[in-house]
Amino acid sequence: MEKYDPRDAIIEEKFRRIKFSVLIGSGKGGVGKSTIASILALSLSRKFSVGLLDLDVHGPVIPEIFGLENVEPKESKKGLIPPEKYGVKVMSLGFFTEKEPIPMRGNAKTDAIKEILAITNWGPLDFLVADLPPGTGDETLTSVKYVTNSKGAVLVTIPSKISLSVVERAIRLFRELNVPILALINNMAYYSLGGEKILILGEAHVEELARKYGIDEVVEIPIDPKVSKAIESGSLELIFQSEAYVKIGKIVEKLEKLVEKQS
Amino acid sequence: MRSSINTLTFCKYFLELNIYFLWYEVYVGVLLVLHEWSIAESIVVSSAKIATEQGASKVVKVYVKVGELSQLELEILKSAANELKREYDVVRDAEFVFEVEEARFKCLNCGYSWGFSEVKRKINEIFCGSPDRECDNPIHYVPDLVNSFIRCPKCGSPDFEVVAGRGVYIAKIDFVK
Repeated sequence: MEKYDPRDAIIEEKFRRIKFSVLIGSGKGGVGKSTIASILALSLSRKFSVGLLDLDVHGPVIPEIFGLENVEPKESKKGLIPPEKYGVKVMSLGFFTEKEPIPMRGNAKTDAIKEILAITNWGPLDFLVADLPPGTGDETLTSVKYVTNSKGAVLVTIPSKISLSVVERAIRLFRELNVPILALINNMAYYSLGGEKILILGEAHVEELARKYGIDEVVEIPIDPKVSKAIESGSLELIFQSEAYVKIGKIVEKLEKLVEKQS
Repeated sequence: MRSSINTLTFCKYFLELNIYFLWYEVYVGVLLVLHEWSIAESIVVSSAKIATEQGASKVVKVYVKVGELSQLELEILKSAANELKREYDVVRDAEFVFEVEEARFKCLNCGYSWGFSEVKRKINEIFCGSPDRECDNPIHYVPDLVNSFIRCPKCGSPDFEVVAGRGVYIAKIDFVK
C-alpha cells in the first residue's frame, strides 16, 4: 500500500461544514488582495458566519489588518480555534511566525497549507474567504485542490496594463481548474475628488477583459483613505463607512444568492 | 524578628512560584495533549475511509509513522485513537501502531545533513527559554515552519529541506474483506 496522508480525509470532512468558499486571487502582488479579502469577510460577517483564511505563505498580513498580531489560536480536541474579531474567525501562518521570514520551497509550502487546512477547527461556517498568495504557483494550486466544498474566485487587479496582463493568466488558470470566477475587481481604480473621478493609476480595459472571459461582475474600488485609516488605527469599523465597503456589497449580494440556492 | 519575616516572605514567594510553574506545566501539557487528539482524529477518520474504499469489512491493524519534527507524544496519540475509533465500525477493533520516524535535514546551500537532536536544544532555547526545557512551539503545529526558526548548523543558511520525519502518515493498513 502506498503512503497515505491522514490530512486529506480530515480536510474534506472540515470543508463539509462550510457552505461556500471564496478564493481571493490575483496575478501579481501589491494589488490590495488582502485588504479586499478583509473587507469582503467583514461585509459578509454582518449577516453570516465567516472565516478568513490567510494563505499567503511568505507574507501573511491578515493578523495585522485585524489587529491580532499578538494573539495565538487556542487549542481544542478538534484542532486550533481561530481567533475571532469583528465577527470574523481568522487563521494565518502569521500567528505562528511573528516577524520571522518564512523561507519555504515548493513541497514545504504545499505541506504548510495542508497542515493549516487540517488543523483549523472552523466549526460550521456560511462562508470561508481565502486570501491566496499572488501568482499561479504551488499555493494557488494546493488551495484550489484542497478547498473541496462549493467555491468561486474573486480576482483582483489594478488599472495597469501589466497587472491586467498577469491577472489574465490567473483567469485562464481558474477557468481550467473549473473554479467559477464570481467577479473581477479593479482596485485603486480612481480617487474621488469633489464628485469627480481622478484616474491616478491610469485607465485600463478591465471591462473588456471581463467580457472576453464571460465574467459578468466587474467592481471598481476607489483609492479610499478611510480604508487605510481603518487599518492603521486598528478600528476596522471605519471600513463600514468607506466607498469600498459599499462597492463590495455587489459581491456580497451575489454570494448571498449562491448560498440561498444551495440551501 | 525582621529576618524571620523575610524568611517567611521568601518561603511564601517560593511556594507561589512553584505553584505557578506547576500550573504552567499543566497548561502546556493540556495544549500538547489537545493537538495530539486532533491528529489522532485525522488518522482514525482516514483509516476508516481508506479501508471502506478498499472494500474492508474490518480493519485489524493500522501502522502510523510519526515524524520526529512534529514532536507528537505517541502514548497520547495511541490512547486518543483508541477512544476515537469507537465511532467508526470498520476500525472499532483495530490496533493502532505508532512509530517515530527520525527527522533528517539537508542544507541546500552547503549540502550538510543533520538530525533533529542537533537542533532540538536550539528549538527549546528559542521557545522555552532553556535548551533543556521542552514546551509548546509553532513547529509542533506546522512542522514546515522549521525554516523560520532554525538554520543549517554548518553554514547558517535557512535554505534547507526536511528529508524525512516531517509529519504523520499511514504506512500500512491490515484489513479483512
